[in-house]
Amino acid sequence: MAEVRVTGRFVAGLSFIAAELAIIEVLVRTGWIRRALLPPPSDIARTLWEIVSSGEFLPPLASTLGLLAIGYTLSVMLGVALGLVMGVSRTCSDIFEPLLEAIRPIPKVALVPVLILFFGIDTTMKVASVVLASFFPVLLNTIQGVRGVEPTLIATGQTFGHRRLGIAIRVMLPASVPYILAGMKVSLGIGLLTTILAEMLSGTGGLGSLVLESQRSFKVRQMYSWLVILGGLGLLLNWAFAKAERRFVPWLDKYQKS
Amino acid sequence: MRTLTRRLMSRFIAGGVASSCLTGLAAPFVWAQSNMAKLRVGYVPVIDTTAFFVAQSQGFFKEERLDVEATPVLGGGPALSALAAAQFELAMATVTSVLLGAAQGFDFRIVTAVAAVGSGPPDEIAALLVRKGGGIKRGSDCQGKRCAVQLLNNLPWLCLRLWIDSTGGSSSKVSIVEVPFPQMSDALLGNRVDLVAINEPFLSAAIRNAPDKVEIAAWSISQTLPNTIVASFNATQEYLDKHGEVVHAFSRAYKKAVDWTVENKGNPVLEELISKFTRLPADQVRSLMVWPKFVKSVDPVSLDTMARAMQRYGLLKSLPDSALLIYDSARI
Repeated sequence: MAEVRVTGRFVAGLSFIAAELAIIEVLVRTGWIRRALLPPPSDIARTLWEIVSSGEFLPPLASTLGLLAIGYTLSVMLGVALGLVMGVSRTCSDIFEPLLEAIRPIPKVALVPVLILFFGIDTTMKVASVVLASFFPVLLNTIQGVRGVEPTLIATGQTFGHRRLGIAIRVMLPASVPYILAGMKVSLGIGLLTTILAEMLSGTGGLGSLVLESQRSFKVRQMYSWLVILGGLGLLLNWAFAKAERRFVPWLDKYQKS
Repeated sequence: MRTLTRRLMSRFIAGGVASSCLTGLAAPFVWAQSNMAKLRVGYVPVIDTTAFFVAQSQGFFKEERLDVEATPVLGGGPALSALAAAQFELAMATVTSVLLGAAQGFDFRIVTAVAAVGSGPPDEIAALLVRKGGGIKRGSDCQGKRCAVQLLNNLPWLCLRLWIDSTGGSSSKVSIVEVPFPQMSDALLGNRVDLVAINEPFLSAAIRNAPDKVEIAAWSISQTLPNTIVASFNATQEYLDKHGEVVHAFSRAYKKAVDWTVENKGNPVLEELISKFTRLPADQVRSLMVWPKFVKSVDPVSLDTMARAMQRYGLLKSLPDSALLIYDSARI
């Protein structure tokens, strides 16, 4: 019964999208919307098919995904490590927190031109941009998770003879997983956004630079096609994250419902 | 009570008479303003746009009953996109952007020339800058090197490839990356790139700041596409069909401004004006090495040359009809 309900909602959502596309198709073909600004969806679909079937999308997709993977992995590792240290140690928190609070409110995408000055326009700059942008949600959620661990769990760990480091790694870190995962989910979206922006500003490959290049050359159908591919990538990443969550942390669903 | 009412009434009447007089005095100005054609123009704040600002400051637009509202944009591409979206009536862009847009079905038309290059300096706007002792003198020296342009698939990129291929090199074997103009000098001196295609005023600034470290390998445009139109003001055919006379008025004012600019080159008044709209210090304006050539019309042959070069490097699939792209107001 639940499956039928989910399928029904899925079909309703798809039908709505299809209806919107049909309306746009009619509006463009009858001249209500200028074709030069928004080609008919059928033309965009044709161009999208050409890009996908020829494999043209694979190298820029690989470039974008590779960049995101490196930057995201680094930001998660740094965020969890520093978050754990700051969550456990009051002294470390007192040292790092003022600096982090000063940097945190700055929109990280605004720092990309500054990073270009320091790192140039290559992979280092792009990775640095992604790390800087994606690091904070993981860090803050890790700190919150670690500080919110139930004292009973900590006491239990002590009963089993674990010292401070052991409790941090064997008790506090696993107990903070729901918070960390929430931060990682937010970071993934921010990381993709920053990757695309860094590619646009540096103009050296990837989906972001292709979108801008198409726009500058007035290749409107190609521009929309690349945007569809970008949207698909975002959906795929979200789905993959949810799948990985269910696979590696199966108890999370029950925990969140309780 | 009766006195108060009478006093109040007389004040109302006095107020009414005063405002009528003021309205009457203002009426000619209001009428004149409403009688002027409004033009929203997108421009790129570079030296090429000098004549446009001369027309503004010398009142040539007002003489033609034009109320011009100027909006700076980052580049010709965004300007033309805004033109297509009817945010502007006229937009400045490089002719490469215009040709690219026309090839994709946008109904852009060139209405006035903005800047051209001659057969060499001082009628030039850009150069290929390299490190002294870096070993790059010709295109053949660029093999395996990294070159920087402000925008890929635009005029500097095109001219760079033409230069490399015409001086013994193969541009398809050279890595070309995008670097914003203000960062080109640092990228070159920091060995992140080996050659930059750099425009004024950044060219003069780079040489002034490091005269013993950088040198000019070639003049970007005049050595590859001599005597070519570089930038223009453009409108859509849709706008021209309805308001052709407004565009002709703009063109008349602009041509007057071009004459004034050419006559007053070196005049401190002109330098102050350029300093104001480009936000460059006046002494930097004075020390520019090269200046664009201000011209009043667009030669279709010049456009064809540009289009053929674009076709050679895959920017255009077919050659456009240059005569169709040039509106009456921009013809010789």
